[in-house]
Amino acid sequence: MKKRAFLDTAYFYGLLVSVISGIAIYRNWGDIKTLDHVNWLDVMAEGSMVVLALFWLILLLRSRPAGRVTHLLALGLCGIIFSWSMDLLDEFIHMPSTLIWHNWLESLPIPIALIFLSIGIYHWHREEIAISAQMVKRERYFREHRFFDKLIPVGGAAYLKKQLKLSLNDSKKQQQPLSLIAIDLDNFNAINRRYGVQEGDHILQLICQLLLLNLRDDDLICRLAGDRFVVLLNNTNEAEATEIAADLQLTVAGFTYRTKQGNKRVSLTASVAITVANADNSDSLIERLNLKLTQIKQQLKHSA
Amino acid sequence: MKSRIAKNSGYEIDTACIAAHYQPAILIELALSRDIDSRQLLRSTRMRLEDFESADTLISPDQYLTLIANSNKLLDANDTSFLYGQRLLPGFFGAASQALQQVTNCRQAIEILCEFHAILSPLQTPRTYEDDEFYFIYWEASCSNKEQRFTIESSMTAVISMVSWLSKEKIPWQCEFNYDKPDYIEQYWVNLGQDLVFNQQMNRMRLPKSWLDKTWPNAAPLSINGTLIDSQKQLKQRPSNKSFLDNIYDYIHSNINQPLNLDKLSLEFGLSPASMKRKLKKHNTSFQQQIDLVRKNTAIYLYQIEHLNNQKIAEYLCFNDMNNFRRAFKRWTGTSPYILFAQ
Repeated sequence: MKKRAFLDTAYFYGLLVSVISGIAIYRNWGDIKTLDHVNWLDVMAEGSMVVLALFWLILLLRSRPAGRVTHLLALGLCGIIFSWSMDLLDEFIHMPSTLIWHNWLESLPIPIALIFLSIGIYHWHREEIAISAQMVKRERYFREHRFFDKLIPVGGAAYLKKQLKLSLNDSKKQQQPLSLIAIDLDNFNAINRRYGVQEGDHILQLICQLLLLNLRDDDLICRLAGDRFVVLLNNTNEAEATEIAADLQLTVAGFTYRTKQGNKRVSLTASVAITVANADNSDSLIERLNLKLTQIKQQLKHSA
Repeated sequence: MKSRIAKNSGYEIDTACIAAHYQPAILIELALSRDIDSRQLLRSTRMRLEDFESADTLISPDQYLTLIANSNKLLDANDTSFLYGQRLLPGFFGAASQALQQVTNCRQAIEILCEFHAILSPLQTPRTYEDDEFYFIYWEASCSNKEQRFTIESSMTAVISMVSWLSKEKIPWQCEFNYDKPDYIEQYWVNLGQDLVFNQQMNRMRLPKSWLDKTWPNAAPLSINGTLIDSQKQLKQRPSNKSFLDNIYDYIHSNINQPLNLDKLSLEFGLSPASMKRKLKKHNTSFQQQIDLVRKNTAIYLYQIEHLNNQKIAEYLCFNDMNNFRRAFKRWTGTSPYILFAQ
């Protein structure tokens, strides 16, 4: 993933200007407290609130693409930071109690900011639902970004194992069969060497999308390692799994990649292996599946 | 005088001897293609990105190891060493790489790898032996045990990937490792195959000998001779064709059946015992550790390949007393010879 340039400085300038004008107003109408009148515990607590809110704003702007939701969330956070910093200023500058509107400076921005934030979070929630719909087949039950593959937008081996454990429990409870398919591209090493790793990476990304298209909503695909993918099929017996595996193999065989440089045709084939869960745990199941695949690939080489 | 000794006793952990645009540049490219910041990547390596573009920057094994540690940390993925290994061999490292692409068979490829390891594999030294059934390659660190797992993973991946590419066949390798089974075992399966043994005494791979002398499709038995002469010239331009620890290992290995001590070793290397000690310390090892390592590997060789019994092995390694041998063996391997060799 490309890191986004730190462009949203407008929010910070706006914030800076409003805080400075806040300070100017306080300086003009208030009296600076002497040091022994300052409550340092309050200063520390309120100061750290401001710093933390700034930290949230930075994270938000760095991680999210620009758009309505980001804008609303950022505005809300700016309001909160402003109001909390006015609170902090209050510790150093005493305002005469005859002034009513200085209280507004402290209290008014908070509700407005919270309204912005709430609208933002509501739309964020809608957005998450939309994104989750697209993530079906890649994640189930829980999301854990640490297990996601860096190159290809599906889970890695660790994610597969966690999911497999859950599914094994379910299948035992519901007395339903559970199958796994392993798909491994043939001679992928040679493609990497001939066309370069960039093209190889791109092929893997495309193959992954292609496999996703051929799966049911309830299936889960993960990238085990390198050019090997594993599909987890709930409520699927061996015959159905064999059929799906054959379809996936056909899909890969029907796909032709054209290299970015030189526009060369690259056709691919894949080897597949299937296994059905018996009384084993997730580790031994994955190991059995891979052994089977290794044997299949070995035979392929001998017959070729 | 100083340079003569340095030349004779091999490249050390701080000798500038690895061309920056060879293996290190491949790692940099891998990291940059994954959007890693080059300044963080080169932190405490005392190098700049420009150094990798020039053909005559040499870096030390220590700098290279720091670069590996940085990349491994920044990329934060458990396939880094394997992706790196896939790109290492035959590589673009001058005549030696070219020779690898002209070899007749697997045996010749491995022999070239061993002979020119200073160019082709500067951090891990491959050595070989064989019995009736198998051909073995085992790896010892050339300079330092730092980043051992990364360098072993990438070295083994490099050999297996090269052999499968040049032979166009799927060869049933077995790999054994001197460390625990990692929790990313899937990477091992996909890159090294499924025949893996962990918690062994050494890092060793073996293949059935039937694969060893099969002729490979790209064999160029005539032109390879000229390429090998070029490779020799290439090696001569290097500070040394072996590392300091390689030379120590080889010397102890060929004198293992006679009593050895630090003084004798130092004399052989033209060093005072004190400077020998200092040099070994610089490589984070000692005379005792080195001799134990060779004895352990020799004992395993004598048992597995020569089929000697414990008594004979002890005699060969200059132990007069079986109890002494047992105790020493336990220190090298963590287990008794009876248990290990009963397997």
